[in-house]
Amino acid sequence: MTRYIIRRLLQSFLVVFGVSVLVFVILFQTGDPAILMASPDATKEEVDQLRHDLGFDRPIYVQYLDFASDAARGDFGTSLRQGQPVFKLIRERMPATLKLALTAFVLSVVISIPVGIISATKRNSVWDNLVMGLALLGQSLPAFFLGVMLIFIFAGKLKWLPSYGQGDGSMVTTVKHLVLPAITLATFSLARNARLVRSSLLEVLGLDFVRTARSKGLTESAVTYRHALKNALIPVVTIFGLEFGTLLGGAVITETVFSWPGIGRMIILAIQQRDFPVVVGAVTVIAVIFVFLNLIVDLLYGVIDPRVRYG
Amino acid sequence: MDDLVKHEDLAERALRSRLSRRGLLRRAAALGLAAPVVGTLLAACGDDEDEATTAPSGGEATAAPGGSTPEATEAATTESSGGEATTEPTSSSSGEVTEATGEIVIIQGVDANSLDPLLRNSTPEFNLNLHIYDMFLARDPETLELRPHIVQQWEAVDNTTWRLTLVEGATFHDGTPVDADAAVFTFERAAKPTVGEKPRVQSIANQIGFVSATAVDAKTVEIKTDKPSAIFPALLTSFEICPPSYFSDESPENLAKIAESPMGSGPYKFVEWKRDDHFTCEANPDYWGEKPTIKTVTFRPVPELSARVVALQNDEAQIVTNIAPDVAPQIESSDNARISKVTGGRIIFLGFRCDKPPFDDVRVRQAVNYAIDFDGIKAALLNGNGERASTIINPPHTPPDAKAYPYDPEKAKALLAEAGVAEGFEVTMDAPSGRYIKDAEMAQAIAQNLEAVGLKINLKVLEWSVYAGELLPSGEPDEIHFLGLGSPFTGEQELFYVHPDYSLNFTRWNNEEYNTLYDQLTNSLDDAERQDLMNQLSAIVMEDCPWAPLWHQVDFYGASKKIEWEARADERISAMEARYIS
Repeated sequence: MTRYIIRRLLQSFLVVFGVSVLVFVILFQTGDPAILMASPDATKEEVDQLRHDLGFDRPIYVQYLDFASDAARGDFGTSLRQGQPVFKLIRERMPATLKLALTAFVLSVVISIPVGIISATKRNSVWDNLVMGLALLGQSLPAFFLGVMLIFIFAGKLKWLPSYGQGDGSMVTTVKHLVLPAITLATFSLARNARLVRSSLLEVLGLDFVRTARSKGLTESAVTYRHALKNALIPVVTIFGLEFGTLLGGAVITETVFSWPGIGRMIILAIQQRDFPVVVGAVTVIAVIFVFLNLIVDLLYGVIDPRVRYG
Repeated sequence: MDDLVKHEDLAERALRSRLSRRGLLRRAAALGLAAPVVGTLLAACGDDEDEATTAPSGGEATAAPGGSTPEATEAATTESSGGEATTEPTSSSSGEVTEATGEIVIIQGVDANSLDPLLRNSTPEFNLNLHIYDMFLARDPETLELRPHIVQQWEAVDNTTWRLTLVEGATFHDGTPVDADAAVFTFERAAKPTVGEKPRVQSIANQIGFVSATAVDAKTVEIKTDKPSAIFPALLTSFEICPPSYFSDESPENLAKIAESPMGSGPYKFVEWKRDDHFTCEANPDYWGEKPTIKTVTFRPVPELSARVVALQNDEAQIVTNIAPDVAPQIESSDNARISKVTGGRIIFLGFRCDKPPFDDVRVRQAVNYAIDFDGIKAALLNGNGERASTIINPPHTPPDAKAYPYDPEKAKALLAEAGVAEGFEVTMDAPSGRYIKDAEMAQAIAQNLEAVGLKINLKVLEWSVYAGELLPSGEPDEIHFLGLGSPFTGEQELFYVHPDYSLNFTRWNNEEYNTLYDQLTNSLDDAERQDLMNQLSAIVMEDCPWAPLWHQVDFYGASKKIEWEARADERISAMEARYIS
C-alpha cells in the first residue's frame, strides 16, 4: 500500500508540473503581455522597457522556474489588471465556486444513484424508459441554454427565484440563489451518472455471484442492495470523485449565465484580458485540487477494491 | 462560451491590448487619441489613455492675473455653458436638505478591474468612480455642454496657461479639504508615467502637454501646458480629484488598496466591493454639492442579457445597461420597466482604402455613400431606430448645416460609370460580428445595396475577437472595412479619426487642406473660430469621404418605471440623476 501511495503521489506531482508548464507555454503563444499592457501610443523603447521591468524578456524557462519557486511558497504573483495578489483573488472566489460545486455534486449523487437503481432493477419498464429519456435530454442540453431557460421560467415568468448573483450571504437567500445554477450545473453529471449507475448495476446483476445469491433463495432486494450494489458502485465512486473536480473547474458557463462570482468566471475574464498571472495561478490551483481529489479517489478505490493495489 | 468571448467589453479590452502597440506619432499622443483608441473601438467611454511621453518639466507657472488674451478668455467663456464664464454652483440650486433614503441597483455587463483613477479603462469602472469621486468638471446630461463642478470657473490666462477656481467647502471622505494642493497633487500624480510599477492608463497630462500645476491660493490652481490645449476643460470631465492623504503612499499595499477601496470627495462613500458580485456605496451626508436623495447605490455585473432583463422586470434592478434593440419591445411591454434610449457618441462607418483602386477615386467613394439605403436598414434591422450620420462630429459640436448623403442609387451608378468602374468590379468588404448593434447583418444589407449599383462585393465577416485582434492590428484591412469609433465629445478628437496620424485610421486618406485646417484647430483657443474650423473640416470629410458614415449607434438602457432617469449620450450612469417617483 505504501508503495502504491508513493507511486500515486509522484504521478500527481508530475501532472501538476505538466499542467503548469503547458499553461505557461500556451499563454506565451497568445501574445506579449508587455505589448498588451502598454498604452496605445507607447514607443517601441517604452514597450521594451516595460517588458524588461515585468521580467517578460527573460527566457521562458527562467520565467517558469521563477513562477514555480514562488508558487511553491504560495505566491502566484500580482494580477496585471487588478493590481491584487493572485492568491488573494483565488481565495476570494473559492468559497462561491465550492458552494456551487458542492451543491451540484450533492444533487447529482443524491438523485442519480436511486434513479439509476430503479432504472436497472425495472429494466425496460416505463420508468426505465422515462428516466433514460430524461437522462439523454439532460446530457444533450447545453448549460447556457438550460440556464437561460431556467431563468426565463423560474425567475422571469413564475418569479420564484432570483435571476443572478449569490445574494447577500444569509442562509435563505443563498439557498434561493443556488437553486437554478446548481440545477444547471448538476444536470449534465446527474444524467450521465444515472446512466452509469444503471449500466454498472445491470452488469453486476448478470454476474455469477448474483446468480449464486439468488439460487440461495435471497430476496431480490437483498441481492440487489446487499450484494450487487456494493460491487456496482466501485466504478461509480471513481467517476464521482473526478466529477467533483470537473464541477470545480468546469462551472465557467454556469457561473457566467448566473453571474456567479466563482473561479471559472475569473479565469475566463483573465484569459480575455491576458492577465497571465491570474490564469496561470488559478489553473494551477484547480489542477492541484483536481489531482488531489483524484488521488483520494484512487486511494479509496484501493481500499474498496484490493485488486487495484496489486494491479 | 461564445457569448462570453463575444462579450463587448472584454473584446474591447482584447482589442485595446492588441492595438496598443501601433506606434503613434508624438502629436497624436499629445492630442489624446488614446481616448479614441481605447474609448473608441473600445468603450467609447470617454476615457483617455496613453503613455507618458512628456515628462513634467517642473517649470514654474507665474500667476499672471489679468494676462488673458481676448481669444483665450472667449474660448473659456464659450466653452462654458451659455456663454458665461462663471456659472452658479450646482450645489446651491436646491436649498432644501432631505435625508437620503432607499436603494438603487444598477446592473452593468462587466465588473471593474481597478478603480485607481489612473488605471481604470472602461465605462463600467468610470461609472463606479463617478459616485465615489468628483470629476473636476461635469457635463449637462442633455446638451453635454460643460458645467462647473469641483472647478467652478476656468479660464485661459494665456495660450498655455489655464486657471481653475475650485469650489468652496468641499471635503474628501476622510475630512481633508478639497483644495488647490489636492488639485496640484492630482495633476502631478497623473503626470508620472507609472502608478507604482504599472504604466498608467489615463493620460490627461500627455493629452494637454502638461508642464506644471501651481497653487496660486487655497482655491486657485494654474496649469501650464507646452502648447495651446482647447480640449483641456473637456478632459476635466473625466478626471477625478484625489485626496493626497489617501494617495501619497505609493507602496504596493496602498496602491492595491486604492484600486479596490476608492476614497474621494464624491456624493457617495465606498462601502464594499466584492468582485464580480456587487459594489456598494452610501450617500455622503456631508457632500458639498446637491445632496444625494438615494441612500444606497449597488452596482452589479451581470454578463447574461436575459438575466439582466429578468432582474429589471422583477424590480431586482432599476437601471440596466446594454439592452439589445430586439429585446426592447419586450421590456416596453412589461409593467415595471421601460426603455431609455439615446443616440450615443459612437459612430459606425465604412472606411475606404483610399490608396487602392477603385477607392483612390473620390467618385467611387461618393457612389458608395449614395448607394446605401439606410432607411431600409433601419426598418429591417434596427426597429426603426437611428438616423444616417450627417457628420462625424458628436454633440455639442455638431455642425449646424450638416447633411447626410441621401439614398440615390441612380447617382451612384452614374458616378461609378464616370469613374470608369466596370459593372461587376470586385471589392472586398470586412465586417466584424458581435461587436456593434447588428454589425454583420448591416454589412450584409450594405453589400446588397452595393451590388445593386453594380459592384461585386466579397463580404468577409469575422468574429470580433479576430477582427480586432488580428485584422485591424495588421494595419491592412481590405478596400472597405466596417468599424465603430466612440469619442469623448470634444469635436477635435472625432475629427482626428480621419487624420493620417491616427492609429486606427486605415484609410490612407491624406487631404492637405484637411491637415492644415486641423493644425489650426489644435492651435486655437477661440471657441467660435474652433467651431467654424470644425464645420469646415466636417464638410471636407463628407465631401471627400474617406468614410461612408452610417449612423451614430443608439444605446438602449432598461429602467424601472419607479424612477426618473434618462440615458446619457456619454454613457455615464449616476444615481445622482435618478429619482424615485413618489
